[in-house]
Amino acid sequence: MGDGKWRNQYRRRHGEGSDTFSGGGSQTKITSHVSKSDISSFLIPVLKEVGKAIFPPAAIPIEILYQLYRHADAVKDASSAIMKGDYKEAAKVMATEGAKEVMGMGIGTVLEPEINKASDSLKDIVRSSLPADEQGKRVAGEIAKGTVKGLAEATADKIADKIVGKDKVMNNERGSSQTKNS
Amino acid sequence: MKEDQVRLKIVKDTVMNSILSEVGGKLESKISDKEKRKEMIDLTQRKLVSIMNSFSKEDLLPKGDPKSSQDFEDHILKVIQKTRLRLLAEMEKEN
Repeated sequence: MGDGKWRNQYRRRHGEGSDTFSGGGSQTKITSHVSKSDISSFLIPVLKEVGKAIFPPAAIPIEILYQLYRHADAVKDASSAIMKGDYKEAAKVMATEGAKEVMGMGIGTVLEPEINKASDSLKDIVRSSLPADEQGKRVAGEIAKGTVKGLAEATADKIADKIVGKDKVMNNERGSSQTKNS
Repeated sequence: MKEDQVRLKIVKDTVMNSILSEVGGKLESKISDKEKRKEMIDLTQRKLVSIMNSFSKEDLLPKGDPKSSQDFEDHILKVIQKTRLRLLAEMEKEN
């Protein structure tokens, strides 16, 4: 998503160790490479500049962050389902809540890396199964109600089936054994 | 409430990523020493984590539900500014 670099650093560092600041003169080393004068020469001026043009944040469009925020309960439910390995339920929640972009792209931003991995397949399925972004919500609403015949292929159950099917194929290493219609 | 935890994470991650992306990008054009740059970012991150952890739920979450993405963006911007000023003050204190 483009913001992984800093995010990963954050995750790696979060909770690790403590600050290594120490008192002393202007050249005191804060870490092995950074001195106090580095802070005053670089970090402080940068931080003063930062506020002027800080948006959009990270690489995720604000609309997606907003939708994620709005659908926090669904995000929570979907991530709990993924953690339990219940992809079907996760796919159902994701499709029901609709926002294809939110669930497809945004869900990874609030999940832990191990869940992220599992949700990759979900993202692919959701992305490829639901129509254009701006229609995502409407379509998902229809999907949830099961009222759009033409979108049968994109129903939550179908999405879940695809995931399960994919996993089965991967586990068996047998490739597709689907019968082709002639 | 678990939903609030998700919301808090969204806000915290957004704010931290925004600031770190900006700082990282700007440092890249100013410092060629890769190690030094990395350590400066790590330092900024550690400071940011502690600042974010010091904020209360009320500091981070908007009052009521934002009505539009613009409302949400405005709120995030406020938190970014508040965080940036705290970060700046922390860094200046070290000088």
